[in-house]
Amino acid sequence: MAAPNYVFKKTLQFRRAFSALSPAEKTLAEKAFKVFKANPFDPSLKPHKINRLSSLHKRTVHSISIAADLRVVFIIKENIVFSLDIGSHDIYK
Amino acid sequence: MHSSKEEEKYRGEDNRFRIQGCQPFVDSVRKTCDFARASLTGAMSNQELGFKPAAQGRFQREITPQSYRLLWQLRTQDERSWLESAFQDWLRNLSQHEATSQRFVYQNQEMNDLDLRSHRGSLCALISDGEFLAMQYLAFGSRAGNSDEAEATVNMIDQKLKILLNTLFAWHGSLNDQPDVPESFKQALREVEDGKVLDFDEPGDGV
Repeated sequence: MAAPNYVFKKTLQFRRAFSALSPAEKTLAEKAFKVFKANPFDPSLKPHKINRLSSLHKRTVHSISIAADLRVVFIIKENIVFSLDIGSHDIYK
Repeated sequence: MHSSKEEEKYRGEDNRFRIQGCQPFVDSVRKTCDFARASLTGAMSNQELGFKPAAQGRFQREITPQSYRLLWQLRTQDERSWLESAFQDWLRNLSQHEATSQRFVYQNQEMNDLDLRSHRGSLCALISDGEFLAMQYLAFGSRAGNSDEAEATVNMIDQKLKILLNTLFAWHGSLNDQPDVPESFKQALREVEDGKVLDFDEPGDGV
């Protein structure tokens, strides 16, 4: 089965959160984004579902790990990947 | 408005409920109360109460929590033993629910809509069973003249009910009403809903 041809979008919240990262975190994130845009579920990104938020939102909420405590939260609607937020695990807990 | 003939019919029956136009509702409430009273006191048999062992759906024996199954059985035990048994069954159901939820909801990376619906249904059933159990304990305590003992058990039931209700809210309530979900996450979802999104590669922030 062919991988979906995803379109990648980001929220204003994601942009704000990214701007607030340290230069080192931004470098790590940019490296990870190259992998992310090729395949959001690449195992190297340790993709996982956030079950409680998925239940509340009635749609699967995904998370990837960029570094030890740097996560990106995203959802997928049809073929659009919406990156919601970036930061420590506090962004969804 | 009731006609004078209807007024005559209700006169003397119960002055508390002589509100014009409300009698059908009052009759319905009375019937419900009678049913509940008969159920609690054991004054009516299961058959009279309408509990049919082969009934479909919620009351089907194979899928109903054990505390409900007991309602169908003739009460051969004394009421205290019956209630204690029902309480222990309810606690067992709680433990089973927790184990099942851990496996299929909380720790399940392949969780689907059916798992969530099952989780919600199980929570609602346990809440319902717990409330009825508490009601039965209170009625028993009142009849037997040992309200303190009954209230101690009801307090335990209430503690469990509080956890169940909190879980129901935390997993199946409104996302925007969750105090522990970060505001930034809620805001991001609102932006998606409102179409306030940018192309991922849009320059200006280094992404």
